[in-house]
Amino acid sequence: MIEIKHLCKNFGRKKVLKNINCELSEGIYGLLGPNGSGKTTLLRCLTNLYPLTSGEIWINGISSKRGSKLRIGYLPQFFGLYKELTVKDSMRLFCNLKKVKGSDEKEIIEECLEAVNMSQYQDVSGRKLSGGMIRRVGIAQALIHEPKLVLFDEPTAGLDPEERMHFKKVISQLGKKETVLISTHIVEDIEASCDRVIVMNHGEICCVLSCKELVGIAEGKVYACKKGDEQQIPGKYFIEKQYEEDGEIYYRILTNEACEVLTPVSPVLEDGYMCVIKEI
Amino acid sequence: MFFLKCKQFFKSPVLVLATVLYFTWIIKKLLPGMIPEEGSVADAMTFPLVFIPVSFVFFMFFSYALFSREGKSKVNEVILTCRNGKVRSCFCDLCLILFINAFILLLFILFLGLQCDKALGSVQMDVLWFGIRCYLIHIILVNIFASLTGMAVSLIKNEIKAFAVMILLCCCFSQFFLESFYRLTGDHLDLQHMMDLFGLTTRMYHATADYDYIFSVESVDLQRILFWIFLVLTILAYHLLQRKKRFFASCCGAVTVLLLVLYMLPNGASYINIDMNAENISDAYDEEDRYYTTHTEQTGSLEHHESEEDFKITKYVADIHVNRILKADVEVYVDKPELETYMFSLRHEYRVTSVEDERGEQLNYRQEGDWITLQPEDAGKHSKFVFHYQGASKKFYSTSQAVRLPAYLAYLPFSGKRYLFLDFVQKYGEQDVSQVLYDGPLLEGPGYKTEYDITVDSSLKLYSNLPEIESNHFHGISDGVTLMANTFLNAEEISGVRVVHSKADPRYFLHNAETDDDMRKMWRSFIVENDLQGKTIFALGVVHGLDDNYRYFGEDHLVLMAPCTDQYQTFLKTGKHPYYEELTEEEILKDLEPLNNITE
Repeated sequence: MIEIKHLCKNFGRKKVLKNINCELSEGIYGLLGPNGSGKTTLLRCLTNLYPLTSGEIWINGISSKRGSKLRIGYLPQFFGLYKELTVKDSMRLFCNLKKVKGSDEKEIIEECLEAVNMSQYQDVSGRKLSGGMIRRVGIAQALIHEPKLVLFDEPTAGLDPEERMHFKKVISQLGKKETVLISTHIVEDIEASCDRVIVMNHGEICCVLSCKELVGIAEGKVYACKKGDEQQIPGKYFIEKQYEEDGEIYYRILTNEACEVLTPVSPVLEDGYMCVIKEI
Repeated sequence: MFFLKCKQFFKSPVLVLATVLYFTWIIKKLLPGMIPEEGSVADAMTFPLVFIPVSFVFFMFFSYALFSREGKSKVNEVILTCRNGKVRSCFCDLCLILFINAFILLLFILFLGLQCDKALGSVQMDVLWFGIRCYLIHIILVNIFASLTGMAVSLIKNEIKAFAVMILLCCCFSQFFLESFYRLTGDHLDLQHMMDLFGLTTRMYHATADYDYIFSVESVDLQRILFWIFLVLTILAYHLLQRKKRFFASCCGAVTVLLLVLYMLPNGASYINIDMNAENISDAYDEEDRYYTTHTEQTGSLEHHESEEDFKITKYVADIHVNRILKADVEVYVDKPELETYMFSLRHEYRVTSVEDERGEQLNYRQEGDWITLQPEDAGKHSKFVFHYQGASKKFYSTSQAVRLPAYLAYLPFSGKRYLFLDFVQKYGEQDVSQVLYDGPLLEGPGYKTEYDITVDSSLKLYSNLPEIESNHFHGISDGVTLMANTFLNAEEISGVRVVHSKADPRYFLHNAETDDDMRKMWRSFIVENDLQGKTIFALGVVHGLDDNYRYFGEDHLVLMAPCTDQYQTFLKTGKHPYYEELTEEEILKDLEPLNNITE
């Protein structure tokens, strides 16, 4: 159980996190928010990379100030490998840093690389790997010491669709026993795998809801309308995206004001998220 | 993890190439010395100092390249989330640097061993240990400082800024910077001493070393190097540690300040001034010259003054403590208790702190230059005086590293008012202009036999002409006491004479002799010709890079630089030290004859 109480983080005068309060138990959590909303800062605070300006993080009843010994797996937003070392050597280095028993090392490395479909690249050096491959090794290193809390910052960035599917399988297995927090702005990833979604904006948590609940927020607020007709909407509206159907251009619109030019559409998770962010 | 870091290093072509080039350069420089025709322990000790500036630059940039890799490869963030991950990762990289340093040290030891073997006939462990200590302090510690600096600079994320900082640091620790600063500061010794903090890479390897006393400023050097190391550690502790960083940074900071204070202590200043500046390598000699020249200007020539001695000393009981300075408590027993005034001569560098009588009561005294005047109120009742004094002579040193106190030096109070120096009148042509100049110390001891009981508190093994009744405790009757000690001092028996000499002195016994055997033959014949059996000879070579011509001919021992039968025979015949070779007018003309013939 992870409890975040009144967490604030400032960089100079800039308040990046403002009074964050949240509880995380076992399961998979999605952390959604626009760029600059404080997602990465929150993850770095959880990993102790950033000292807290105020507030506390309690992990299994122990304050992080007293040095929690909880094993945390972390994939940073910008992850890289030593160019000179092979994938296997890099993994051995991470094992060493994370104090994995020497006798278990070989087996665990193989397991983790297998999980991210990188077994065949064990002997390839870091400089020969593509961005997606490095990302997969990053996921593997986060899991290498059987962490109790796993923090992924944009884990699927650079992964092809097949690997994304693979990743979703891995974390759904992981989420059965551990706490997994995935920070992303790709809503589809969250939809497929997360139990609950934390929506952040301007350094604050807007809501913590299940996917269904988040979709429910957009119920009756999502419409389709032809390009040009949107000017007839009487109140506040937000154009979510533009698409083409039968040779005509349509907008997907979020609004509280129904009118004859708008056709109701079934909401999805992204609509719920946008409603929260745009306060519709 | 260390092996993975090594693997990583060996797969980094730039780092490997730089290391290979560095080692090629070192080996190329050392190689001629490794197959020597003639060996010299002292040269082997000092030669590796030439590597310091290049090593400093190499290790700073090498370390920067090594430590900045993590930032570049973006592994850093993961390492930081591991418990003490950054510290452990950095420690492994530091181990790699230490490993390279160990290899360098090994090369130097090999070099020293081969030189030692050639010079002394075998590899001697005490020489090797001393060498290792010197290399560790003066080279390896500087390399470690450079490496830590490179590590600290790697915290700067902007590469251009980081390189600019490193170049600036290289400039600050360069010879050019120090010399420019010395020129600017002129005579401000305190400022110069402060700037000597930057003199890590400018150890005076080009100046002739003091062969008895190599690296005479070791303690001050150590404080200076450690000051920089702890300063960088303070920065690193603050930036690298995740927990208790303020505590560790404060501890390192406190040690840094302490080391700076120790470095700035007056004793440190005087030591470093002797040793650090090429111009000051003979500073000790110049200072003495200046002191006595001023003295003679004030008092006139020695020719017009006679020593006054109304009493004799019958016994000395001395406790001498030798460390950064000499501290002495000396009981002096006089043969005439009835005198109203007692004058003693004690070298001016030793400042008397108090004088007591036999009852422990403080006496009034006056110390002026080399003279101490005692006028006890209850005259006629004193047979013993206790002197407490301390000080350091730059020329006749007595520190934790070496002791050079010959019998002719008044490090114990001599009876009477004596002129402890020689002077001569320099006449300029036919004009009636003359100048009195200092011409070295008086080479005469107390001049009569006295009982001595001397205990020296020092970790060094002391050598003396007096019998040693227990470790560094000497007792006996003599007309003067010589005390000598240094790491290389050694006593050897030649034809029934104990010859004390420095193993490290390349010119020991080398005058007019090509081999060791030749040298021993020369000494043997000198000993036999002059019937010296039963005496001790202190065969001392070069001090501060200058030939020390000062000889002492005592009844039970001689202090010499080389065999000198003529001078000794003159002394035996006249009873006076042959200070100058006074030539008659005929001899001068005879000397000039060949020159006159050529002119004609």
